Amino acid sequence: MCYVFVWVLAVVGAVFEVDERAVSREMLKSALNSVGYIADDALITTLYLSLRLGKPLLLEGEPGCGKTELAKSLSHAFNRELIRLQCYEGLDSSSAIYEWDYLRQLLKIRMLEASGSIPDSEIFSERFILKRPLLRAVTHGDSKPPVLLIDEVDRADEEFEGFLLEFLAEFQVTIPELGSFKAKKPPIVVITSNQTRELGDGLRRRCLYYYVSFPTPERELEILSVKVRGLDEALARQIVGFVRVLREEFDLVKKPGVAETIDWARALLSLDAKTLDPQLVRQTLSCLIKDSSDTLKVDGDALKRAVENATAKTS
Amino acid sequence: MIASIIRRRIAEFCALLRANGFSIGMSEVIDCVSALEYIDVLDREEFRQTLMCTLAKKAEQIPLFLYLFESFFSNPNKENPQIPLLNQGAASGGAGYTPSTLLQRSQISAQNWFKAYSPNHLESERRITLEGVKHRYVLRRNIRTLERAYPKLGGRRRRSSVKGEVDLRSTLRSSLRGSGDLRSLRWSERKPAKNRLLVLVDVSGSMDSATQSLLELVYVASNVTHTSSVFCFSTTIRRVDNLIRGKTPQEAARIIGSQLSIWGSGTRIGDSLSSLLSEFSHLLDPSTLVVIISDGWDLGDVVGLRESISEIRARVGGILWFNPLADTEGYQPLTAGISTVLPYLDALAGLSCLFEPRGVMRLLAKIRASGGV
Ligand SMILES: Nc1ncnc2c1ncn2[C@@H]1O[C@H](COP(=O)(O)OP(=O)(O)OP(=O)(O)O)[C@@H](O)[C@H]1O
Ligand SMILES: [Mg+2]
Repeated sequence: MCYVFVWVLAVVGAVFEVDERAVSREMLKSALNSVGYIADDALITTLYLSLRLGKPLLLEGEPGCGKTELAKSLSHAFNRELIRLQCYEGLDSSSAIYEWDYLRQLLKIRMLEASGSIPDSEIFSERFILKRPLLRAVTHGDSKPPVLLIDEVDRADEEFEGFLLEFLAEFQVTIPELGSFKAKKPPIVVITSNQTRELGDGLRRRCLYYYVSFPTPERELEILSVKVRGLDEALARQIVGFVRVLREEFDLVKKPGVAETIDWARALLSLDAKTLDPQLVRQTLSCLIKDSSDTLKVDGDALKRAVENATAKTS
Repeated sequence: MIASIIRRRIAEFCALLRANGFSIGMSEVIDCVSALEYIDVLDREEFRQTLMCTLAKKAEQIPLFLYLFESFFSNPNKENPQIPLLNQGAASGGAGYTPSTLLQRSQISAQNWFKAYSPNHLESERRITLEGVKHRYVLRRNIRTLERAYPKLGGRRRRSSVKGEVDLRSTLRSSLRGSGDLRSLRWSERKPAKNRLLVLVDVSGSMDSATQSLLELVYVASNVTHTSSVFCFSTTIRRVDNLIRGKTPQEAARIIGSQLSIWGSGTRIGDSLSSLLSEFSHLLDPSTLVVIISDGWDLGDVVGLRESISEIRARVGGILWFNPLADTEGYQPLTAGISTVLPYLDALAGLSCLFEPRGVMRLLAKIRASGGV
């Protein structure tokens, strides 16, 4: 019944033009639910405000807990194009904004030369530009602004962050040969960071901030029920319980995120498991634990106790 | 409109956050206040999250934020809750709290929450809102008065009066309307010209406590006349009157907040004035009255500041400086910024002067009595 309702909402959302600046919090929540994203009320409130105020949303927090996924789901739910700028060290403007298509320019020059005319300004027209994410985000068709995901901004260097600041203020890109391109309607911007480097105050000031922490057990159960169809409810509870113990009681270098929980649940489902036991957990632990020094911490008695803990709590 | 009682609480809360090491500038305050328009402020969770996402922008600040939020907004009985300044390290790292555990722990009963905005408060809201309108009215009157601060400059337009010069044209007209005899003389005098106002508002971090008044001022000054120009400055200067003219106060607040990247940073009055000179020199002429609102805390160099202000003074009709600090008893204009500009000012007054009925009129009278203007 509930699913039918959600499905209807999704269809309605896809067919009618949804103005993201006018949606209510409830609509936002069910739209995200309908595409399989389960969000806390606090996140919904923040996202809602960021849409309302037209400010970028800055997400920091534990890895694998749905930062990137939020932007994807948002574009899905509102039927918007997703433009993703994946940041990395040394990211420069030619990969972030635009680049001239030298090869085609060269061909054109050859052609013009062959026909006897002189290559002129035609070479520097919009046709010969390779649009990178930021330029694409401001040259979209006007009615439906895309979702611009600036992923892992902490990996780009400070210089780029400075540029980004300017970009976010104006949503304008200037190409010396062609002039300025300004978005008629600014895109919906989601910025994520994994905190490998402290972001500047300027960028923070531009954005609304949300810290994505590990979900509560209930929320994680909900995510499992959406993402891993056919998983037994009792087993799901044990899974969530065990992951929680791992996060809270072991001093792990890399705590398992939601992504790991989902992976593990899928693995257990494919093994047709009914309940957790130490042996089974040890076999499948690589889904959850990605750091070799962590593997040593979760072993032997500690592991047995953790499994008991998780199964006792949930049974 | 959100209730002014809540807005005042937000301002106090921001001061508390600032005292605890949060960097909160005007843009944060404006975001926060405009965001509150969209939520149910009586829903505690929603209210807290709205404050959090607009005011706390670093992961390590979240535990401290939550602690301060709970202490501040659960103390409805005290007028000024005395919350100890925390050592940030102890609050965020010490207890081993992660943002998530603290978030889960900090659920406080809804009942308490409603107490924080007791019915009394909500009752008084209406009265306060009305006061707000009156307040805007006073401000408008004061700005109109400023526009006529220089009556000695007669304009080209004339108006009829009982003194002045004989107005031949009007006399002729009135006699033609009658029998054609010249029966009575008509008189006219020059209408006093208005000054063009050039309002410069300091929006740097040190002016935060006056945010609300400044916003109001920027808004009213932009809308009261079409000849005034309004600028905001901190480290740079930005013209704002054309952005907000004709907008509602809420729209204006949002626009100012979103368009200005300069709220809440440091101040470079000298640099700002020199870019005013280079980019907007056409606005500076003897019929212009420059009105500066700033506390005079300046991070730029004093020499540049002196050069700019003296050049501006040479070009315009007058400069008035309103300083929020000057409202306090026993204020002395001693900061480097203020003492540099003081010789070039026609007057230095408290900011409250603009918000009190007849405040500007009294100020002008005082200036005239001492031989100015
Ligand atoms: N709230 C959620 N609802 C539904 N699925 C979720 C949620 N949170 C996480 N997931 C799942 O977890 C996976 C990982 O999430 P995502 O890639 O967004 O993490 P991330 O926070 O961006 O991590 P990283 O910091 O490593 O980039 C997603 O593929 C998604 O399936
Ligand atoms: Mg990611």
